[in-house]
Amino acid sequence: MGAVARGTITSLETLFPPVEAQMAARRVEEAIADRRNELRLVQGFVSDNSSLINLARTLPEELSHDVMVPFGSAAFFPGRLIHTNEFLVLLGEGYYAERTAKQTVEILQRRGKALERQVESLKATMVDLEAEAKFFDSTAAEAAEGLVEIREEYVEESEKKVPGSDSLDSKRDDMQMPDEDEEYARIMARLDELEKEELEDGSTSDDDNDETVAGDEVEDGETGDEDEDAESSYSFCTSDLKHEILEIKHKSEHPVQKVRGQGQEMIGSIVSKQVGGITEQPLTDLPFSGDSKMQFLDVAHSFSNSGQSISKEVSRSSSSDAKFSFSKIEDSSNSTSRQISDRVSSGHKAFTGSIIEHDLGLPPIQSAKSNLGQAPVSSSWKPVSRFKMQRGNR
Amino acid sequence: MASSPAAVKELQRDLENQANALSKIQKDIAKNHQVRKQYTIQLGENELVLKELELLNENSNVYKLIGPVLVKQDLAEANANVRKRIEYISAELKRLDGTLQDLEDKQNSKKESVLKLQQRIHSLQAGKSKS
Repeated sequence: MGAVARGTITSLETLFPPVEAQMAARRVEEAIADRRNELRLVQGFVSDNSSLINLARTLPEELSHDVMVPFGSAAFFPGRLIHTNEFLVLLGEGYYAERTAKQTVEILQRRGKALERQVESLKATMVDLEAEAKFFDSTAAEAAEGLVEIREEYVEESEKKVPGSDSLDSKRDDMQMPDEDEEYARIMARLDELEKEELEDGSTSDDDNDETVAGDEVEDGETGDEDEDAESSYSFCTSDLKHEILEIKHKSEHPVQKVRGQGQEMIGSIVSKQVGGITEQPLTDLPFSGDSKMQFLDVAHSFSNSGQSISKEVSRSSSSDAKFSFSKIEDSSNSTSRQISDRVSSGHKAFTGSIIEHDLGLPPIQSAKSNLGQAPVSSSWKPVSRFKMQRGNR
Repeated sequence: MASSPAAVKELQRDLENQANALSKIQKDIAKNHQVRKQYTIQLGENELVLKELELLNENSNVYKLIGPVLVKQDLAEANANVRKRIEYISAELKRLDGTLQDLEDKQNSKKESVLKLQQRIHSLQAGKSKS
């Protein structure tokens, strides 16, 4: 009885009255007949074309031919065909071209190919139409036989699963978002650290320069100026980069919410994989070399370089690409960042600590958000103020 | 119920008008199809001509049949003419497509209104037979 409630039974006869089905079949048959006529016509063209090719080939074999020239519709008179290698070929649309026999044959062969293509397409459409006609015929026969159609609502088992998978999806998205936030925060933190490092190293390298240059005051002053310039430009470029990253961050957030395509998920998995890879690295394993300052300088410079390239890349790439490049950047610079974050003086601990915790403890959204909150603020004031500080120190 | 016969008559007149309009639109569509077919054939022919013209040598003679006479033409000129013609035909085809779309929209709306009218007439007649 439940089955009766679920499904409906309609006779095929009411759905497709046999008369109508037969009419449809007849119409399709007519269409097929039309096509057949067309095909016959085209095949006639093909045979005409091939005989014309033969004629064009044989005509120039003799210097002149004796022919009967048609005169009107009723009479012929004898004549001679001369200039047997000169043809005036109708190209179509009233255009004629003077051609030799060989060239004419080429033209005719091209035309023959076009005709062949036409024949092929016609045959294909005829096959389609015949299938259609068969379908109509069988439908008409079935309807006449009194077949019934049983229609039942298809209650999918997996429908229950659909919301589950949906929530899973959303969960994954949630996971992805913190991942991104985290990544972003980490990048910001790293930028800040590197900046600080560079500033410190800049001062120390200045000292080094002073030592190496020794007495020459003029040169010393010059190098100092240069350094200052370089630093100011660097801080500018980093702030710029931050700004850009921030922008891209905003851009890249929206598509994640809107699009739940496979690509996004794939990117998400890539990101999370890399994050996972990072977490696997034991922090204590990091190799520390003795001359930290020089190393920092190198790292900082390399990062500023890479940062510039990043900014280029980022500005070019679209949202999803941007994310990917982010992860790449993170990946490439990660080992160095780890070194730095461990080597950093106690003053920066607030940042480094939180970052390392994130690495290990993954997706706490709140902390990620708080991190996010800190990072842009710091980015907004730090470069300028520190630069000022530097100036003040000098 | 006194007004119902008059209403039915009114509706039927309306229906007739609508049906006439619909058949007119359908005729227009058929005409459009015809014209389009012609243009498509011409386009194919012109493209063939262009291909052949491009294969010709620089110094080969090209003639154009104008009425009963063959007029010698520059190859470049002929080429340009054919190109222009293809452009024109393409534009015309596009225009025809647009009008066809328009006509089909109109046809659909007309069909709907005709159907509605038929239903109303049916319901009115059913009500009358009941009463």
